[in-house]
Amino acid sequence: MNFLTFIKEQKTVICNLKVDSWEEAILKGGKVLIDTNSVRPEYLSAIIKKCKQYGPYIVVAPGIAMPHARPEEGALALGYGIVTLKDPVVFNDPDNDPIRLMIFLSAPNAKEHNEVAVCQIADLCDDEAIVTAILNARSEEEIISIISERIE
Amino acid sequence: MENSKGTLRLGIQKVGKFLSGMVMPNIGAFIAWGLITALFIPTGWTPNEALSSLVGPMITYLLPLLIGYTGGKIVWGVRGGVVGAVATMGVIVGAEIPMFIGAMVMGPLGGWVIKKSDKVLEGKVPVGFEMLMDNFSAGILGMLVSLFGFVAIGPVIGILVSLLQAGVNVIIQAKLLPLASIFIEPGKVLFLNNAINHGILSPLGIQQVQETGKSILFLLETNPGPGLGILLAYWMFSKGTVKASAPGAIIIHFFGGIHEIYFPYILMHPILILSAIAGGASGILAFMITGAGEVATPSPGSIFALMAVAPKGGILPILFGVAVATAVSFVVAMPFVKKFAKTDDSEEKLSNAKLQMKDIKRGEKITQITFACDAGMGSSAMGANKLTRMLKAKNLDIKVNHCSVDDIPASAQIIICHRDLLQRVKLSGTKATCFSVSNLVNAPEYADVVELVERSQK
Repeated sequence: MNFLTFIKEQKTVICNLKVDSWEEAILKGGKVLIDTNSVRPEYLSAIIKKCKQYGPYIVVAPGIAMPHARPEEGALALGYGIVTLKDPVVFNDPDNDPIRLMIFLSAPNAKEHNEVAVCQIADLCDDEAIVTAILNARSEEEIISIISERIE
Repeated sequence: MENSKGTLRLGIQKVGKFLSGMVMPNIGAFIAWGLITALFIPTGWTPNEALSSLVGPMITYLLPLLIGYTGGKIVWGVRGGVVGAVATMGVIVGAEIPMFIGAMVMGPLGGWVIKKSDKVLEGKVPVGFEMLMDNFSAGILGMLVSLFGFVAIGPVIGILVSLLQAGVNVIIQAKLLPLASIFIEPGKVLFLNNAINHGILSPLGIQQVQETGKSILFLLETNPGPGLGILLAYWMFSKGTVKASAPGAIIIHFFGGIHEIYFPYILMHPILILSAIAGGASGILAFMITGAGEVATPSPGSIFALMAVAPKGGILPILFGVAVATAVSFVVAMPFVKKFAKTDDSEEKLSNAKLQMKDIKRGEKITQITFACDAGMGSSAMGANKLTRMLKAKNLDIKVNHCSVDDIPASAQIIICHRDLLQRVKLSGTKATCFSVSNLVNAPEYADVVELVERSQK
């Protein structure tokens, strides 16, 4: 399934989430995946545990993180979500901190379905104008309409 | 609340790392210059007029250009480095004094300008015109930034000189000599001390010598204590190349009298100017208490020259003041250098782990590039996406795939991963060359990879 379409239809968006730490950002933001039954709660704990063990592997670009874990760590179905944080949070990646945009991701298995989505996410993250628009959005509806517009 | 403090500290850390990252790789060049100067200038250890002609051009052009290039490179890879170097030339030629700090501003500025331009132009260039656009955008922007620097630097220096001269004047009139270090030490690092000297200290000093046979003013700037304290702190408490270079710098500074050699050690971590100021001030205080003075300006500022122009029976007070300055500067520098030692060392290791063209065996044709991440489907796919685009844009037929660190294919030639995963990739025992990046979505290193592939395909 298409990342953009998923967001538009499932409305898995949280805008200006207030958190005090990166762990809280993952737990609270990860609701977008739990509410759609894309993951089990332990998926989110797995992400946190791995970040503490290996470093913030989920940070992909300045200001942007893509929280995700392996399928066997609690993924139930394909799921995506966009969460923006009200205040930037330090994830301990000195090159890319602080983080304000999180794109949650879950995939239960084989890469094929997911690759298209990850490419879309990558292109989105590379588009500075859209990232800025999403970060400046003041409501979930605004973010959803930005995403919908992008669907060609 | 807690988070905004964290973000501020983060910002300061980032700037700090940036500064040291610009200077550290080039310390070898500074040492080379220091040695040549200490040896061959007329007042050097083995004067040689012909060889000493290297001194001026190296400090005026080579050292600032290296800093500017490195600064631009940090921002936007080799391309940023080129524009950064061009930009730095603007302030080098526009100023009459060596432009270390000027380079630290213009280098990254040049890199930033070309980075923005590349992002704006991406995808908008008609096929076949990429190389033309690449070279002309770099050329035109380089020219513009360079001209800007050329025009802007004069007034900036003028303002700084006036400030410093005014400050030192006020202090001398008020007879609060130790406070002069507040202006003199930063003035030294900015290469503005000549202006302070000729303008104020020398004329007054000569007058005092005529009246009393010596003057403390000749010691204000030439005391090697402050610089020595900082270099000693680096030698004892830092790690890696910085630590290894310190003894050489100490010899050049203390015995050769070439103070400029300790400037990069301050520029790397500007907070250390505080130890220079503390050392300088306490040294001046010690000189005042013991009535120390020199008959003329010791030149160069080596311990030997300091002793050579001492008045009869006046060597001990001078040595005492130098020792006090060294001790105070060392003690103040110690906590800072200790703190920086860890980050400097890991930054150095990381920049060595980043993309290095020379590591690719020459002649080996590159047919695939592999991205690795933890699960093999998230972060690695992101990086693969961007690089595939860039390679396609240049019509380079090469496979870009992605995998998990636990599952690296034996056929992998080049592996790219997030910096946090580099250890795990290396531990997997793969024979491929491994590189790490910090921005998977669009790393400046990707451009270098594309160029590498291009060259290997020829």
